[in-house]
Amino acid sequence: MAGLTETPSQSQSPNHPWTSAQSRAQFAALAQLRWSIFRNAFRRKGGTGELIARILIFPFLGLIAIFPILGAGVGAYVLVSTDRLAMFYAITWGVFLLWQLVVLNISAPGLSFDINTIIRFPISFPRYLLARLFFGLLSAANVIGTLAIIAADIGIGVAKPSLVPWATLVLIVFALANIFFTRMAITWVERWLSTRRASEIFTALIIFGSLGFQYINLTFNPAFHHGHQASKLPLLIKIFNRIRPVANLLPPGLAATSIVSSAQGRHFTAIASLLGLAAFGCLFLAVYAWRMHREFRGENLSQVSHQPAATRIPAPQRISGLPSATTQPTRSPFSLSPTLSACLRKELLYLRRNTNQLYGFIAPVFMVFLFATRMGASGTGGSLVFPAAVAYSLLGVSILSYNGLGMDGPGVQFYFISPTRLRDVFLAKNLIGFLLSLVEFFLIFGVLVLSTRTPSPLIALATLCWLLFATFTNGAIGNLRSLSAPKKINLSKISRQQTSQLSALIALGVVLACFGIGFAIVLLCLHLHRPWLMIPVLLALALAAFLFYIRVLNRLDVIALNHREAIAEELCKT
Amino acid sequence: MVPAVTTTGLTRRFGEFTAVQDVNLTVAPGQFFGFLGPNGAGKSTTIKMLTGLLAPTSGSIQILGLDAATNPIEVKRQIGVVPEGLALFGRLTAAEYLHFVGRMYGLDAATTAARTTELLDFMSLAGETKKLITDFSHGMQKKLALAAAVIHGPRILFLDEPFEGVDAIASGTLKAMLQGMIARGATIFLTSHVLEIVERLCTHIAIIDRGHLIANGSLEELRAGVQARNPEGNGNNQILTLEQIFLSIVGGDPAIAPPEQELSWLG
Repeated sequence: MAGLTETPSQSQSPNHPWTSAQSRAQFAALAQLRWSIFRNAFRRKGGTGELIARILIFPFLGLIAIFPILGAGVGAYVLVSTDRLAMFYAITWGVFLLWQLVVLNISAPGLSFDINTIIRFPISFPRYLLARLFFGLLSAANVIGTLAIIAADIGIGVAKPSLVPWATLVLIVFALANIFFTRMAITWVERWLSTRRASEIFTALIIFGSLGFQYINLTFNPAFHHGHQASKLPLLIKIFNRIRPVANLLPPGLAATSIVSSAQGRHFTAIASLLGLAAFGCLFLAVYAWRMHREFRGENLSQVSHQPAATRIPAPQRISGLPSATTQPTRSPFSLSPTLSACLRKELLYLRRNTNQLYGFIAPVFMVFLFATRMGASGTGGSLVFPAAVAYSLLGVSILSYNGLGMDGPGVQFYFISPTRLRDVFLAKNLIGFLLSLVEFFLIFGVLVLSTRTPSPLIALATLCWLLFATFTNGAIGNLRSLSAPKKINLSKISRQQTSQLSALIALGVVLACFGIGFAIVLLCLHLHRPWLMIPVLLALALAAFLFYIRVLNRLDVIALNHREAIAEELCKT
Repeated sequence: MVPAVTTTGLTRRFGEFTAVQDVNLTVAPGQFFGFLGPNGAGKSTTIKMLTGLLAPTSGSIQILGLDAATNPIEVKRQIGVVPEGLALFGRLTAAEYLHFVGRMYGLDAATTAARTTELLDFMSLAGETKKLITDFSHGMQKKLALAAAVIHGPRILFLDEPFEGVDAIASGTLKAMLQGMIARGATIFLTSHVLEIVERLCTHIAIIDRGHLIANGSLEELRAGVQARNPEGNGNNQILTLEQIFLSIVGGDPAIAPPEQELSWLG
């Protein structure tokens, strides 16, 4: 082997002092690593599709993000130019809440390796800390939050240019404090999430928090009501005034106080608030660094949940003679095959233990309830409210069928080593999905009956037919995507992705396309003055979708066999 | 008598790389068969093909006289597997998982329940009724995977590194169970890096190296072969251990043999 017997150069010797060039080389290597991971993610099988999905989704997300960013800029301009500085807290608190909301709802680009493993290299703690801060810096939350802060700064600058230098300084410190806060919070929360129980509790908290946020948004946002609800605004202002003394002492409050005080010529308060804000930033960084130091010293989070009971010496027993494996399958009382009933039982257990899945089920019904009560109170709501609500609810449920094997993880190997037909496995998964869709259908029907008005029997029946059509179509395409683009779901991560980007986009497209087809049929039938015609037409579509679904279902075993290596590689990775 | 496992010209390629090349193997019923080889030799690829986790590029596999390609379901009913990834469902408890597996293998509910209780007890997992599999230690997961592999009473058991990460007590339990199965007529096909365990348990051994089957036979046959090849090396009539046999067969490979040059810059 050439070179192995050569005398190493001094700079390569472990005894030689560490140089700054070597440190720079480490950072360069880490940056190269990050880039390679990003690039290689698109080189994998299905990577091109993922890239296309990202390109298509980014403008969509950008469109969603542009409103709060513009809101921060315009809001800052209006408040400063009209001298309503007392309301400036709304901007900083809004940006802070937006930042946290994005952290919870948009997953960070996944790393294919554990960044913690770099501790095996000769890296000092400060450099390790910097590396940890560097990885994940360009998350959606940081980008959107920072853009909102820049927009607010521009708004201030346009309204009152003399305020720009101080406001820029304060907002930079505010942005850093937010970045450190989210990193600190995520790291500590994920440390708690390493235990299953904590993970479930945290998910439940997120569910209630998100639903509560939607309730507040719909209750107090003027965009959702027409004046008569404005009486609730004083209540919100009253609550805000009650908590204001405490809120002023927190980072968003301190940032606002500093800018407002500077504008009003109270320089001491402005400086003191800025120092307070910087102190918070340092505190967040210190707590984050403390956590990182624990990991740097080798704490392995996976060991938190792995506390095996003391090994007991097995009793001197024997397993009674296991008969030969030629047991004939028996039918269950409900004439389901034993395989199918076993799969159904397993899927029900998984559903019960998957709070995230339950959230996808509950949230649409809750949102329909909120909107329906608003519409009921205002007397609005047309005949298409029910179909639209059902289509909306289908989005939450249908996405689950696009990564049917994701929750199974390494267990997926069992399907290939046992006498199991993937057809039965997917049928069980789909049956649970269909059942959830049907339950949502009746729940939404009940909500609308109680809050607005009962949908006409024709519309209700047509919607049911449409639901069958959309469900079977989604089930068939979802099953195919589950096999061609499986994605392991990591339950111990915040904002875990339920499916690949492309699959999510396809799911959205399929539901929208189904809704478009249904809507066109309804319009056509109404135009022809034969509204009853929509029932047989939609039933025919449902039948066609069912046949397509059965055809796909019967081919799943062959498709799965062709994809088994890719499936195992993705779902069994550690 | 129909062989438990027969492979004919078994080959698997990954692009340009050939992981397993033209392997012809026969395992008789009732054999405790050890499948050995250095890292990257093709052991896991072979066992994955035998158990249906990987499709062969060419060649055929017969399990108990049944072609694995044309009768996959019937073949899988006759075998039990502990694969490399253990194939566990992390969000189930041990009992729920065994119940699921038993039903998937076509056992009735009563038999499944009885065997689940018995296996959990035997594996010392009976006390972990509420704990999810994801919270199990690696050793506990391994024991559970083995329990799942035998719940339907397979005639052939395929084990990929079954003793890796298992403590001495659990290892003793597993060995006792496997020997009991052999005594009752089952066939076991096992890969392991722990040669002492293979030597103690296995009656027949095959060695694969760089995708080629380079030795196959009983321990005595392999020993005799090595002694015949190197008569001077065994002048004192000392019985060769499996490690010595393995190193003699595989260690002669220049790709495996330690390099003559030392890494002078080390230490």
